[in-house]
Amino acid sequence: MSAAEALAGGEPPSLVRAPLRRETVVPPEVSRRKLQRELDTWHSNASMHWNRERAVIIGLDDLLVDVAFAVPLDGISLGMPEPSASAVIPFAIRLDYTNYDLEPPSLTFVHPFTKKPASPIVPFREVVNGTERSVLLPEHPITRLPFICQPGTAEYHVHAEHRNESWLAEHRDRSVGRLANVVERVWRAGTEHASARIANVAIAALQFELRPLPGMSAPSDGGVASHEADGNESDQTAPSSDR
Amino acid sequence: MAPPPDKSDNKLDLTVVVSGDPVAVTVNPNQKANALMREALREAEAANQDPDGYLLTFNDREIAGLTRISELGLRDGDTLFLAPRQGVGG
Repeated sequence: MSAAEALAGGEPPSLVRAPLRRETVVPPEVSRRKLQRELDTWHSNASMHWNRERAVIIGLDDLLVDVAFAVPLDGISLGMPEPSASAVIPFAIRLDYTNYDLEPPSLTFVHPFTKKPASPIVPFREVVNGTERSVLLPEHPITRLPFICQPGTAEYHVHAEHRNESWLAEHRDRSVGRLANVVERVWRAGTEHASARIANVAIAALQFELRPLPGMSAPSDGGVASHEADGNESDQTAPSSDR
Repeated sequence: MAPPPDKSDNKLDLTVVVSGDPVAVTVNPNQKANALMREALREAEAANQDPDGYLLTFNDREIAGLTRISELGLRDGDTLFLAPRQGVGG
């Protein structure tokens, strides 16, 4: 059974860990035109998205849009002097705009480089009536992949518990499927909570990385350790003597 | 040469990003935030123009619709964001 059939009701298909496959019911050129409008708006404001949501488009393939989200590493959290030049990508998503906007886009978490389905390592939460709760569920009944349980994605609307909630009647006119709005929701639910988790992971990684390798001296006569000892920001940016 | 804009007219010139699209909005600071939302949605030609369905933020802080604009500490040129409320999932 296709996702389109699932939208109309029925039993779930055989279970495989793969993004939703949907029968094409909207001419692709129509969906492409609508997606292109989204992309034009995005590209006109790309720096705004990078500065606010720290989101950047990392892939485009017909009706597929891959977006990565970055989290800056706070140097103080890492025990290093500010500023830290580092950032990490805690997760990326693939949006499939097939049948848009008769249907909402499909959202799959993917690895930012392989683009294959992957699980984010950070929690996704929202606050409803003052109560915080998780919106990232570990396994969708059709795709068996992690998914965000919020209106505006195909995964939500094909879910058996939400089939009585109409995308067309209740959500499409609020533009919740538009690229900027999907990215805003994912950013709001995910990256706010990602920073602390990522900092912890980075600390562990740095502690491992900073161990001296066999045959090498410890970083006490240069690098981070000596800058920390200096405690002077101007020294951190001063050229070293051999530069 | 055109005279400089008269800011004694008690108006604020703001940018509101609606669904990723920046629109220019001029409001009276004595109005409520709901009026700002309605004006931004009208400028953006949003299909659904009911402010109740949207989340207005400034510096990542949510702004309640009944807040008077003058209480927000906004200045000319400031940018606010207006996005659909995510709705209740789960």
